[in-house]
Amino acid sequence: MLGRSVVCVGLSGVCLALFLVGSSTQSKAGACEPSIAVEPMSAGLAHLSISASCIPLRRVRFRYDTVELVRKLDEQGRIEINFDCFLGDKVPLTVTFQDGPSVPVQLRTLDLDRITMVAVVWKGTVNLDLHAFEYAAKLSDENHVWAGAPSSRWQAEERKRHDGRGHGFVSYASDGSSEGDQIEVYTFVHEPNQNSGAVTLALDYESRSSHPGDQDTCGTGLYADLEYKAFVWHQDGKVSRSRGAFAPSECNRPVGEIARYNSKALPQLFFTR
Amino acid sequence: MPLRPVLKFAACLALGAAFAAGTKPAGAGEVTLVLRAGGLTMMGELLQSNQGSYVIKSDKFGVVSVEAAKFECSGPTCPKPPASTVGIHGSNTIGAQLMPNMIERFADREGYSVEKIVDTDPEAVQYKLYTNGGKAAGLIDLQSHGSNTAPAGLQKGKAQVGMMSRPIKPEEVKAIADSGTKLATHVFALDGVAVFVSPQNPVKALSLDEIAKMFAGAIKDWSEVGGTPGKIKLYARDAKSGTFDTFDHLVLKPKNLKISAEAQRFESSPDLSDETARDPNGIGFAGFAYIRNAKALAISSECGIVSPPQVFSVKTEEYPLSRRLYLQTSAALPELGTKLISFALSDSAQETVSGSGFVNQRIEMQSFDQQSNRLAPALTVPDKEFNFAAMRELVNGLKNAQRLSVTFRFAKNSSTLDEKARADIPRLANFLKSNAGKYTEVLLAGFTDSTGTFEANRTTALARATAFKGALVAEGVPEAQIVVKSYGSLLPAGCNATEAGKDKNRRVEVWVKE
Repeated sequence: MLGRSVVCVGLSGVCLALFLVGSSTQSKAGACEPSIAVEPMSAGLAHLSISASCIPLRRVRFRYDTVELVRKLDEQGRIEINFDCFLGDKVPLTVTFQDGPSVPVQLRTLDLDRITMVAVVWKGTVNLDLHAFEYAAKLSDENHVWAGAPSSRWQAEERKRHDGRGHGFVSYASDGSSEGDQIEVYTFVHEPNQNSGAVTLALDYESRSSHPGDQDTCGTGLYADLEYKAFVWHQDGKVSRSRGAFAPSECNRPVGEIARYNSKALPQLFFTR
Repeated sequence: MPLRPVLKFAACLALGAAFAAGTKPAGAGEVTLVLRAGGLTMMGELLQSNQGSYVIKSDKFGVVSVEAAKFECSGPTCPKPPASTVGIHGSNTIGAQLMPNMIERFADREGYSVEKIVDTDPEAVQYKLYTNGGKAAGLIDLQSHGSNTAPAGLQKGKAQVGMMSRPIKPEEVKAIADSGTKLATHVFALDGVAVFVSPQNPVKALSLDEIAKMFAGAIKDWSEVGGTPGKIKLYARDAKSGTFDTFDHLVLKPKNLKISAEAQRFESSPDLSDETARDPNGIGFAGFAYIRNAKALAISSECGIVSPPQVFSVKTEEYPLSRRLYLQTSAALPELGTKLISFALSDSAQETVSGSGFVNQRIEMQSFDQQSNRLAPALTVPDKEFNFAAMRELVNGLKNAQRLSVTFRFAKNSSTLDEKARADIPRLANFLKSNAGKYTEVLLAGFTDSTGTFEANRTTALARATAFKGALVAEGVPEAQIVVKSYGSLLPAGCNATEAGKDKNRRVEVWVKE
């Protein structure tokens, strides 16, 4: 999925918790006092408001356990991010400014006990798409949730109210163009009274399946056996981690639908009776 | 996570058709390396085959080094697979989610990290296990193309574990034995074949007769079974499937029927279930774990016993389409596989079994009230030998007791326990010993099918329950705690009109009183 952004610029609002970070730094831009505010949000999100006016347009690295995301400050040296706490909010986040300090941040979120979050992380300038087929959804159905079908936590809540079943949304959605790790996150908001149903999670190696002749992703190409990691935050506070890789594939071989959306690549969500 | 190229030779090599062209048959001593994903074949002299790589000298490419895991090597100088490679082939019912969960849980317990390799074949997944230090600890090759593929994998040595959702057939056992492979059979988990429809379909229950006729194409419209008019669409597993084999054996064959050619067949149980759930006129079947988004139907039998698909009735094997899931292990199973299977059959793994949607072998209890729906069919089914006094004795004997989910079954006219029962005896003994002092009485209630006179059946049932008592005492359960009762053909669990029903009726139930 191309052209997606995880950065929300200009988001206003009063932070419930504000952590002013008073690091005295020496950078090319002069002494700076970067500030990072954390606002807890629903659906396992933490809103980060970052301001470092002395170092505009510099990179900011977000280190969360083994995952490193890289984003860029705007012209005013600010960035707003809805951060998916897919490892929970106890795992520290370290924000490192280019030509600036490293700042530990305590994440805060509201309701990790009512969600399951699945994050797929990979490296490389290729695109993977995480697809959630909720309740036997077909590709064209509303309950097929992925980065190409815009969704939000509000839409997930609305669908939940409508049919009495949990639903989810895709928040982070990398297209392979970011620096650092690429990441996609699907967050499922549970309906407490639900006792049946299944959500099929599938991974599409989009760069390869859409462009079977792409020499980087097939045959002996650099990303022919692309590795990925999957993290699952469970309602009970447990985190499971897994690693996977795509087997190399012959170049120019078209990929069928079943093979394209590989449900064996990821854990599945199902609710027992 | 460093990126690594697949092949360590020059990336400018052309792939595809050019590789197939110009190749010549391998000569003596030569090997052929075929990229598992296809599109690349190399022939030549194998110079080296260690540290996870093959170094091959070929006329076409010169000397190249390739990653061994990505290539199939054939030829006289190919290395034998490392001892820590375990092939697990067979049932899609087991392989789609239960075995993957079991492998990951096992690896977690053993401290291994796992890398899962997914291929364009969605039913083939490889698991690479690494130690904490990053050293390769083994490879598990999981292929879930159906129970019928398990015996072939074992016979050819490609698999050391066969997953089967049906009992192995005598001719399959013989073929494997003839290949020099010794087998051991294990009951891995319990399951039921659920018959399901879309949640939009108003039908809630069907008889086995109706289900058989629907899948044979003799009943074509939902209005014929009380549903909303509409042409019935059939969804079924493919012919390699043990689930289909079970359905065929328990539903179609007793009626001398065959599945309709119009049925849409699936290799994957989850795909079949989701397709059925989407289709308001669809009906399908798969293991309990794959009801997913569909609506499971209760099944009524000819003698009026209605069985909703419930965990307890699968544990007692009284659900009409209940079955056992098996693992067949070969004597060639390497240590890694032995440890995996040992874990998979242990008490510690039972949560993974139920967490994967299957029925585990832990002992559960139901009160007499919860079991009382069995009384109506027992009273209404015509049975020339029905005995009211004995029925009153049965109700008085059990009404303050709780039934355990283990039920012990016997061959016809025999007091010999079957394979699951033999494994269940120590399980039951441990349960009773771990609850020592809680239960004042363990009641062993013997039953039979309806063949023969009532009194003769009571004698047979008493012999079975008494033999079983001896087995429990031998496992350390206090003799004074055990009471043996015999109820003959009362309270049938299945229809005596069918062999499958009679099999379910020859049993010893276990009840406890506090």
